[in-house]
Amino acid sequence: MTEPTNAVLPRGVTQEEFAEALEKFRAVLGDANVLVRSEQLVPYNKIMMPVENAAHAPSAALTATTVEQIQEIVKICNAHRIPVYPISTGRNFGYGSAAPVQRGQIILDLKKMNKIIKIDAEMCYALVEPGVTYGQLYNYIQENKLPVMLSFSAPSAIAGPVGNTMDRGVGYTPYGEHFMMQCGMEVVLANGDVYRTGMGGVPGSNTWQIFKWGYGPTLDGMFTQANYGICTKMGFWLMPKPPVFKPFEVIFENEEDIVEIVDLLRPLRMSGTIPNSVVIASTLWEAGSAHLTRAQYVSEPGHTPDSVIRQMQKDTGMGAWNLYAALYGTREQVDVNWKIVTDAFRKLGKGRIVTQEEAGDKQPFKYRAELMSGVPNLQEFGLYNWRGGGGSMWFAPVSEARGSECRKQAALAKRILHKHGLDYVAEFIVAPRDMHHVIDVLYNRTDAEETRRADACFNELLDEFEKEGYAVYRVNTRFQERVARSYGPVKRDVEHAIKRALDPNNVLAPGRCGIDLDSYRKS
Amino acid sequence: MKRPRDSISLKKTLVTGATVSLAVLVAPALADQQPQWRSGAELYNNVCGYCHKPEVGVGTVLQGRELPVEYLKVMVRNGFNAMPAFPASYVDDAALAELSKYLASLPPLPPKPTPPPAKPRPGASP
Repeated sequence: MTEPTNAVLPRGVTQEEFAEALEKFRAVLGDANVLVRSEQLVPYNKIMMPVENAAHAPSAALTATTVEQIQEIVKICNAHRIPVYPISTGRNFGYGSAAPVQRGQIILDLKKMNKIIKIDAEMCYALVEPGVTYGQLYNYIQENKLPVMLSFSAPSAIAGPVGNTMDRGVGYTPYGEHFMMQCGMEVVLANGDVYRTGMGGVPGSNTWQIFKWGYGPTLDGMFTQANYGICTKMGFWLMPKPPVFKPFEVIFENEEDIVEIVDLLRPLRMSGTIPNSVVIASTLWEAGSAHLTRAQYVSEPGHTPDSVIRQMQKDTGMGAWNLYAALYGTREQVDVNWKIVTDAFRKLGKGRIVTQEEAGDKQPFKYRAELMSGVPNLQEFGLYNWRGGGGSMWFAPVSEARGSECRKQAALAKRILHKHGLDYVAEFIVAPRDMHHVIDVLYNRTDAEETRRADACFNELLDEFEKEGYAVYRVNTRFQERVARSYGPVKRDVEHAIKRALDPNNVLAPGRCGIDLDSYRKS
Repeated sequence: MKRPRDSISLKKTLVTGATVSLAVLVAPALADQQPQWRSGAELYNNVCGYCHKPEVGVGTVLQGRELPVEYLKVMVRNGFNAMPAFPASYVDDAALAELSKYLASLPPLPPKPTPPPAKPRPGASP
């Protein structure tokens, strides 16, 4: 068979070498699961980052359905030095979507590995393959009337727990720190070995999804935000569905209120009175997810002026900050905690409390309540209509859960975004001690000039936050090398030492989170 | 497509104890891989509709517009602005054909009433 010339090749791999590898992949997977035609690859190249698609174009995509196939694939990749970028559902929007971190890497698409291996509703855990979506899990739980609840991020319905957890994503329920709730994973290593973490290596063990630590070093975290293995199964804990769920919103009028909000919330989160990952959303986040668009208010280019935002608040009743939280438990527990919470806000003398009964089906309350109770939706994608044009990058610095720190970060981010003609569209996701300060850098990707501004803006955000001792917890593939530098040289040396030990041919997603044996030089 | 069943799923789901209630609690693994989407309605309700149903309002309304499958395919494979692209592993061509038929079977939306006058845009300029 005459091999067509591939438009994109893996770095340092010749056309002939690549063709030989493709033939081997076909022998393992069948022709239908080795994708090389441009119309087959284009869905893997849809990105939201401020760079040409070409920078993240794959050379091929493989769809595997078994662990054994993946073992064979990594052996072929090693033999031909083909870099392979595994994806689960490929829904990592704003972080690189399904596209490889470097041009020319082949995609290993695991969406077809979509088996819910087990849900144990007594012990409250699940074990799933990478292609399982939260939507699929939700349907399964509903159909089987299982008394458990999911936690997921906003693209809930179409994204999945393996990808989200491997990228250390977060959700909005009491189980919202997803990696903390992960228990046991199976990983195909670069040499083809299949490694099970925790109790998973013990023959006959029934505690793989029960006890996280196992014996000796606990390595699960090493495989997240990394490129040391391909996760083929993951266990995670499910929250028992509470008898009573009480979502609520508290609306604050002024930007400066963030200080008091956070300082009031911290003890309530620390004590577990409010158990879930609370959200404090800015006006424009609220506006976007409630279907307001910038064009309804402003026709001029640049950032949306504060005067317009205040007008939007007046028109709609949205706050400068909009806090969403929930209580879970028995009626008695919820009643007691509700009194503690409402007393705290009354004592503060600020904040308008809205209950589910008052909000009814109004958005964005409805979708927030759904996310906090494990019901999937995609309502938050309304954010993408705020400015339009399909550009989105998450700038997500970690902050102390301290009011003064949140105010400082919010002001710094807003100043830089406005300087570049973009809006501060943000939410804080509140843990007891930390906050994920999540900012959606929205821009019109069809406008070349605005795209350049967005890129410059993101670089400046990283630089200026770093000067203050702040760094992001996660970032899109365009900036992963840059962010790795924020965390210091020793960490990088260790990461590359591990890479050399586990993947000496550098075939697993080189460049992911800045780990790449070809380009990294010890400082 | 047939695929081998996972040994864990068999082993663990068979050990479910004797009672019916426990059998329900320890839910069995899914059977061998099913066709990707059982119908156009299932695909619409579990993926597209989350943005495109009229009551959601995130994406353009699709129902009742008799959109040809070729058009759907271009949009789904390429994405458009913020709409993500879906490879065949997620939504295959057969499912798109079913989706096209299903969307055509849904009633079109009634024409929109005349919108109220646009809101003033106070403070549009800093």
